[in-house]
Amino acid sequence: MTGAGESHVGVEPAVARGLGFLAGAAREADGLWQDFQLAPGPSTDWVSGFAAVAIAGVAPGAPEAQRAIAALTRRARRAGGWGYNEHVQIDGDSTAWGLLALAEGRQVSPLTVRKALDALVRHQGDTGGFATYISPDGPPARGAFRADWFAPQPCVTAAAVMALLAHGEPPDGAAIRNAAAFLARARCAWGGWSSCWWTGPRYPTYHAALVLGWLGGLSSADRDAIARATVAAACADGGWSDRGAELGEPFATALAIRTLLLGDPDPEVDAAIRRGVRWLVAAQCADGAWRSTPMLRVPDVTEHGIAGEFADDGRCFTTATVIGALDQAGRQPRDPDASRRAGAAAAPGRAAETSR
Amino acid sequence: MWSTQFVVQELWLRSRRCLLSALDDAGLAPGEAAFASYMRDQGALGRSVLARLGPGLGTVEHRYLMSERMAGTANRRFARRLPFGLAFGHECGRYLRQVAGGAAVVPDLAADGAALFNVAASLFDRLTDRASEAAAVKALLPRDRLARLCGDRSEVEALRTELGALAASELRVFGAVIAELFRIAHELRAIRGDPAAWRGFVDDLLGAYDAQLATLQPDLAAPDATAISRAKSVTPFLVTAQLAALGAGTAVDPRGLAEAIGDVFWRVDDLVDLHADARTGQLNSVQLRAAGRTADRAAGHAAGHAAGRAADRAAGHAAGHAAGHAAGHADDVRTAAVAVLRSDGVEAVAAEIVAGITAVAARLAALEAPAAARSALLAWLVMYVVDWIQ
Repeated sequence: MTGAGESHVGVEPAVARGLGFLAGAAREADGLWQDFQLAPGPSTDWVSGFAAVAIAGVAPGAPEAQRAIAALTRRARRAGGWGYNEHVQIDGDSTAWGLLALAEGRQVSPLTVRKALDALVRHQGDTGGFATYISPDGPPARGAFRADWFAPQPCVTAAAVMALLAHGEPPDGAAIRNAAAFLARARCAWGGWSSCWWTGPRYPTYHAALVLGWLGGLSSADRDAIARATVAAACADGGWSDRGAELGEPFATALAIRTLLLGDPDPEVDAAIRRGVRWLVAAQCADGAWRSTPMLRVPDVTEHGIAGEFADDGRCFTTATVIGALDQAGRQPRDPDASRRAGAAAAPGRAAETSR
Repeated sequence: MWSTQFVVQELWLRSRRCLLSALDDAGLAPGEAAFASYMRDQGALGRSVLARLGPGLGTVEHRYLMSERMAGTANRRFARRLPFGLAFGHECGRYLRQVAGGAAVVPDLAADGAALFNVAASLFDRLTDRASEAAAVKALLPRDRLARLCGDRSEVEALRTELGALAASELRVFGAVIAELFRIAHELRAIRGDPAAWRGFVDDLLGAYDAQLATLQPDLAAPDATAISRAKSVTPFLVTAQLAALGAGTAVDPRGLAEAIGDVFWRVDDLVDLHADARTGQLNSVQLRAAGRTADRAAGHAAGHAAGRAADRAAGHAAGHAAGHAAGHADDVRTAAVAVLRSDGVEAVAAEIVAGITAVAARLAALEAPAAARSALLAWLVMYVVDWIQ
């Protein structure tokens, strides 16, 4: 949970309520989370991997996350990896998030991990980027899908690199170096990233900036450019929208805040973060979740009738994203004076008898 | 024939099963619920220590420490383990101080110092593991600066001033942790005024520094690489013991006890990393034992391996080296793993760990320390041994 965020009022209770909502949603779905009503049904494995990672980051050892990790371990495919749900072939993104979830678990079988890692690297193309799907032959893909489904995407590539690193793959190994080169090439003119799977740039930008920063591929000037563009894109109410809306949306706001937190200290950026955090705290629903807006884009697959933009109707994906952002904001001190004062107060020691 | 994956999996499982069985046989294994509860409390303690000591590092450093940039590619693991690293050091320092006798300073500066020292040691280890960062660490904290920090309190502010000119980075966080550690140590020194305890702290701190650097530049002719590896693991516990002695302000020296604790964790380290070391080709004493190597041959292997790595780095071929490992050593991995499985190396090390814990218990029993402190220290040791093998 949050520790140092004395300057963000209301963050800790908001995160706790969000965790409570997610715990309840998992209980209703046998320990897994479900979201996004697409043609193959709701996503279980992909959404559960994502949510388990978010919860484990906020509340290490949380039983909900550990139960989901155990379920994901059981549900891993024989040949390794995971899919959108059990009816859909494995994909690079679900496998990456499944691996990231397993990295948060205790006593996870290395054989399950190894097979999933092998499955994941099969999604890396010649350009170094990772694609969601590699085979147009497996169900449900039968040739009617747009090339986007099989093309490397920054968001999938970033998740894949995070998963490889989480399981000990060397950062200087070929797979990760090539992925970093892909991410560096895939940047948009404004400095961030876009992806065919998301309605706006917030999700791919946060994940790609995080990973490329880890790998030394972002300069201070790059970070600054991303931060400035993100601040400039804020809505008048202090939130962000990925769809050009006038008012903020929780999913985009959470990811924008998380992107800004990757930057160097800066008064303008810090002020935008504070406004965004206040906006998120105020936007929480009574049940502890945050409202969903269409953010997942399914590229045109007219034959199957599932093209379009989709909200996470169960609000688990959005809520997991928001609690991660609020927790991260709460960890980082924003007020230099407050921090110094706290340090000074902690400094003096005095000799005293204790009642051992 | 079993695949390499199965063999490595068996190695992973066997190392954990053997150690837990050995603990169980000795009546030392905690129950599942008790362990979970203990570690939950340790996590909470670590987070509270972090909230209390973090601001003292400075705003920029504290913020970077808590950010997703900290520790780079290892950020998630680092963030997950940071509270436990702080709690581990804090409780080690607190219990050693308690068994050494004397009254605590409030707040318990010895425990706070030990918490920071554990994080500093971990960061030093991480940073010096990469050639480029190692040079920067040695430039920021050469041995003579460490000695000056020990001798002169004003050096702490000089270090802070120097850090202020650096960009926010892991190196800057490391420097800030060192500065805060010395601020606390000098505070303890001023309160206790025990010159012998201070000398002990300085000697062991410099010894730990030397031991860490010795693993980076191994001497090809080193008679015993195992001793170098052991020193790296054990000396941090000696420093913690000296902080505890400073905090206790008594003549009781917990150094021998700390060395026994360090020995336990040194062996646990090798057992825990056995399957990973088999995969990456790192030196591991359990593997060496299985291969029937003598100490001298082990030293030669270690030095040769390290020298190879150093040469690769110097030539800028680190990536090639890693790729070579992946492609060319699959058979080696299998051979090494099978050799360990066919030997009794895992069982032997597990038995040594249990014997080590028993030795710690015997040392504790010989001390005229409060029973509660002795049993708390022993519980801490066992719980973290189990935690490390999870």
